[in-house]
Amino acid sequence: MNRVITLLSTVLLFSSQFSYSQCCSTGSPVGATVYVGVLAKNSLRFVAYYRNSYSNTYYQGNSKTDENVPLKFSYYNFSGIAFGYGITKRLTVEVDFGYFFNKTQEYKPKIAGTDTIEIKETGYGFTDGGVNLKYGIYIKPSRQIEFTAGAGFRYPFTTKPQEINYVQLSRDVQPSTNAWAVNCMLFFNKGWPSVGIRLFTLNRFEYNFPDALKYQYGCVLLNSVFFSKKIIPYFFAIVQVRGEWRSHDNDFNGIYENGSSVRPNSGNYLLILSPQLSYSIAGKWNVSVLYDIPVYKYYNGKQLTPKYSFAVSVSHDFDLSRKKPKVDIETLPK
Amino acid sequence: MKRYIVILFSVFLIVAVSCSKKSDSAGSSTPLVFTNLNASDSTMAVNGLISFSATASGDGLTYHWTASYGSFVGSGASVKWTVCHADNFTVTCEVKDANGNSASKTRIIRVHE
Repeated sequence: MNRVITLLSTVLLFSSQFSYSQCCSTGSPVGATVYVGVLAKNSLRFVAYYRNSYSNTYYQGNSKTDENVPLKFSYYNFSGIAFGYGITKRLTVEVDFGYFFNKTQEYKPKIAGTDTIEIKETGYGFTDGGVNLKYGIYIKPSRQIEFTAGAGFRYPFTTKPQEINYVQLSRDVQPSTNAWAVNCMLFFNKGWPSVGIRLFTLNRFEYNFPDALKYQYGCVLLNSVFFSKKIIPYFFAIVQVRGEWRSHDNDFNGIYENGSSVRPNSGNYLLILSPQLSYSIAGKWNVSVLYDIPVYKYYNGKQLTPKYSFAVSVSHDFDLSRKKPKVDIETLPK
Repeated sequence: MKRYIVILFSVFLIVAVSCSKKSDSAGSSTPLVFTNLNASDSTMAVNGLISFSATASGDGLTYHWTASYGSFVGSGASVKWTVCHADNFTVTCEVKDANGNSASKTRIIRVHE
C-alpha cells in the first residue's frame, strides 16, 4: 500500500507544477509542490526530477496563429530536488528547489527596411525555492480516504534579474521569478482496492507578489483529476486531466493611461491531458514518466504555447523512526 | 626611540600625501550627468525593434539596461530592444560612474499587434 502511495505521490509531484510557457507567457516553471498527501510520522521522502519543454507555436485566443510570429523556438532543461518529512501522522513539511541547466529562446525580430537579425538568449541558474506545510484533515487508511489541506510560500534566491554585460535578460529566460509567492492547496484521495482503481483530486492556488521592477505575475489556479490503475505488478498507469488558469499580469510602473496596472495581453487557460507511467524498483525506488498533451488552450492576446513537455522522476522513502527492539523480559539474565 | 618616531612620521607623511592625491583626483573627476535617453520610436508593432541610446558624461561609466518585458540586443550606451507581445512596457537605463554615483531614465514604449 505504501508503495502505491509513494508511486502516485511522485507522479503528483509533476502534476503540481504549473505548465508555464516561455516567451510571451509569464513566470518561470517553479519547482513543485512536493507531495500531495501527508507522509507517515518520521518518514522522509526524497524526490529528484527532470523536466524538458519545447515550444514553437503561437496561439491567439483559442487558435493557432502564424501571423507575424518572431520566435523560432524556445526550450528548457530543468531539474529539481524535493524533500518531505512527516512531523506527525497528520502534519508534513516539504521543501524543494530547482535548477535550470538552460532556458533558451531564439527569434527573429523584423526591422523595417533592413535585414532580419537573429537573437538567441539563454538564462540558467536556480529557480525559486518552496516551503509547504500540509495537514491531513481526514485520514482513514482502512477506507483508503484522505483529505488534506496545505499552505506555503515560494522565495527567490535573488531579487535581481539575471543580466549579461549589465543588460537584463528577457523575463522569458530568467530562471527565477525574482519575487515571493504564497500558495494553498486541497487534496482528496479515494481508493477502491477491489478493482485496483484510485481517484485523486488536487486544487492549488498561487498568488505572486510584485518583483523589484514593480511587475507582478498573475495568480494561478490549478485543478486536477487523476485516475490510477495497477496494470501489472509494479506498474501503474495514471491518467490526469488538468486545468490551469492564469490571471492577467500587473505592471505597477504607471504606464497605462486609465490608471490600471493590468496587462491586457497576458493570462491564459489550459486544459492538459497527462498520461503517466510509474514503476517500482525492488519495492524501494520509484521511477515515473509523464507526457503533457495540451487539449484546449486560450490565450489573451498572442502568446507562445508549449508544444510538448515531459518529465522523469526518481523517489525514495526513508523510515527515520527508531524502532525499539523487541526484548523478551524472561530471557534477560538476572 | 628616535628611529621609531622617524618611521612613524614617514608613514604619516606617505599616508597624508596619498590621501591628498586622492582628494585631488576626486576633485578633478567629472561629475555624472545623464543628459538624455533617446528612443528611435515610442510605438512599434509586435516583433519590431527599437533603438535606444543614452547620452551621459562622467568617469568610468557603465550602462545598465532593464525592461518590464522584452529582450535587448547589444550593450553599452546604445542597445536595441524587442518584445514578442503587445501592451505598454518600460525600458530603463541606469548609468553608474566609477565613484558609485548613478542616475536613471525610463521610456514607455507602446507595442501593438
